Amino acid sequence: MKKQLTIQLSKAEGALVRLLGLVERRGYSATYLMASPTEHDVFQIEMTVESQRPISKLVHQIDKLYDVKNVEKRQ
Amino acid sequence: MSPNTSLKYKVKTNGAQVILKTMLSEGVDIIFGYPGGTVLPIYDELPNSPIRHILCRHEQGAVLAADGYARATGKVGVCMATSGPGATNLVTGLANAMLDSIPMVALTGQVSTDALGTDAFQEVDTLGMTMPVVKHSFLVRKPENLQWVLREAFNIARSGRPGPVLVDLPKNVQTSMAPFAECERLKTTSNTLQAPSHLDSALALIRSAKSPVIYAGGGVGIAKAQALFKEFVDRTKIPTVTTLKGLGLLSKSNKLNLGMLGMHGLQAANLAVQESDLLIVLGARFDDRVTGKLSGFAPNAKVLHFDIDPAEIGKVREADVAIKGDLAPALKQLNKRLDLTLDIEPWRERCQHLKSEHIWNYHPHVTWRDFETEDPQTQVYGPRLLKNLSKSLGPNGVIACDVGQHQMWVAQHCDFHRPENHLSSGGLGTMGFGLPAAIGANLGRPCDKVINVTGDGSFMMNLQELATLNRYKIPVKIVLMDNSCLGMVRQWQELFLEERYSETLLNDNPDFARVARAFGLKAKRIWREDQEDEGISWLLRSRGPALLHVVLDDQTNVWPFVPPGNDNSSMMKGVDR
Repeated sequence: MKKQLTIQLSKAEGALVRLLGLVERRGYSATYLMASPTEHDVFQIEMTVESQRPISKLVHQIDKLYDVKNVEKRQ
Repeated sequence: MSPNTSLKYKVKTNGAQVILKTMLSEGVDIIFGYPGGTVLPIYDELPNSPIRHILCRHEQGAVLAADGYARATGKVGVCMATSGPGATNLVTGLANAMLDSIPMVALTGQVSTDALGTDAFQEVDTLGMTMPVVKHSFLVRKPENLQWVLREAFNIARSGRPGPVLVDLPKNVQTSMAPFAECERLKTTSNTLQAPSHLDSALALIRSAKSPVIYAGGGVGIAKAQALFKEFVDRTKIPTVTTLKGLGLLSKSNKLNLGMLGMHGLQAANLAVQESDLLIVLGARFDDRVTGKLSGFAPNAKVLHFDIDPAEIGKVREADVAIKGDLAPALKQLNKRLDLTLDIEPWRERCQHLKSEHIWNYHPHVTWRDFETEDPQTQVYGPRLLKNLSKSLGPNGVIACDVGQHQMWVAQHCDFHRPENHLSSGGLGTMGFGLPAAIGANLGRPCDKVINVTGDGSFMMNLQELATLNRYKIPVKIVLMDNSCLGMVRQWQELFLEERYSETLLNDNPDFARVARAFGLKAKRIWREDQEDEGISWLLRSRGPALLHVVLDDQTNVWPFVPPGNDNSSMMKGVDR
């Protein structure tokens, strides 16, 4: 099942790797990723993930990352 | 996070001093560490700091000692190691702290910023390597970021659901001039209680339950909510089970305490959970060692789940009602609104019946040949020895155990009055945890007796820390339960692999008493039942560090045992019961 996420992520050292590592480690695979820098040292990330597991569980885990400002499922 | 800080820098000093001063302002009194090339500037400043440094003999010993210190005191444990192998040796301890939600700050040296990424001597990507096993981590490339990063590291480690935070410190950042501001430590932000209106639904669930069980975990102790928890249990009189990390929340003598649940849980605890119609889950996470076969776990129970970490709600088992946030205010509000008298007397009686039906037999009739005379004798029985040890130790004693059969016996047979008196590697199951954890605990709580209960397998994993005991004359008492095998793995091989004991027999162990004496400890060996009491008494009377070498039969297993893949109602009971 594919789901789309929008994430605001601080441009801190290792933040992107940390995010992607978490996605894979929790049993989801990222099939599309677009990271665009904004003016406020933040990446605007559009990500599509695929998994048998419910997306809400991944959203909770991503939300716990220190560098994540916001994460939302896109309908 | 950007260095958005309200710090008013007044002085400049070298980075190493900023690191130590900031830690002092965060309340650090002890660092467990091991020096090396890239942390030399910090070590050079250490003698000028009031912070005490404890030299462990391996970085894994240092990180696990910091973990034990944190568990026993509730404060943030701090450890330090050099780059490369120093940092790689921390990884096990970081994972251990992560899985058990232990507040910790780990400092690692790193090669200078201009050498980063060049495969320099003792360079590894510490930040990348440790990402999956820390709550967060920082690499400080600029000296001006040192103070706010360190303050933030402590704040992250102790706030919300605690965990380990790693700060990687390039050598040139430690030697450069850096700004420093005298300041108070950051106020820890706790997750405030979300949607307290859900308490109405929670109370409605509790009111309508006919066979409720409280299932309490490590989160209660972490939230410092033991008194509120006890009030909740006392007032509702709901039968209670705890996880490994929840042991100590209620003493064994409390009638409502059915004991630990799970793979090696007590029968009354597991059966009550299986029969329950409501699980009130307080700071616990449905670990697979707790649930057994998930689909068969408490199959008829609704779930009321309290947790500070929203990601735990519904992660393994869906909750019917969830209260997200700090347990202390949640329990406080719940207790305030407990105007109910529960109509569950038949259920309480049923649980008491389960409890009385499964009383442990501490005198199995098993004999073996005497260690010295070869005459048949009654052997030492591990569960009995530990039960009596716990009784002699009293309510303030701390037991740090290792991993394996002895760990489960400690959980089943020792009585704890506070969760911070039982230090056990729950999530990661780290053999070698016990001795360094006991060192950290004893330094954090010098007025309390600290025991390390270990096995012959685990003991060998951080044996070098005997030198730390001797160096600082730390009066840790070691009970080494030696059955000349990796007992828990051997038990699985016996039960499920047709007794093929592949690489688990350790009949070539060294003479542990002589090893201990070589490190400056007092040591004594016991092997017969009639030596048990004298052995315990000798150990607790000894001044300074001491080791009691307990020779056990290798056939004694841990019971009950829920075979993997089964639900918790199918508990195996062994012959030695």
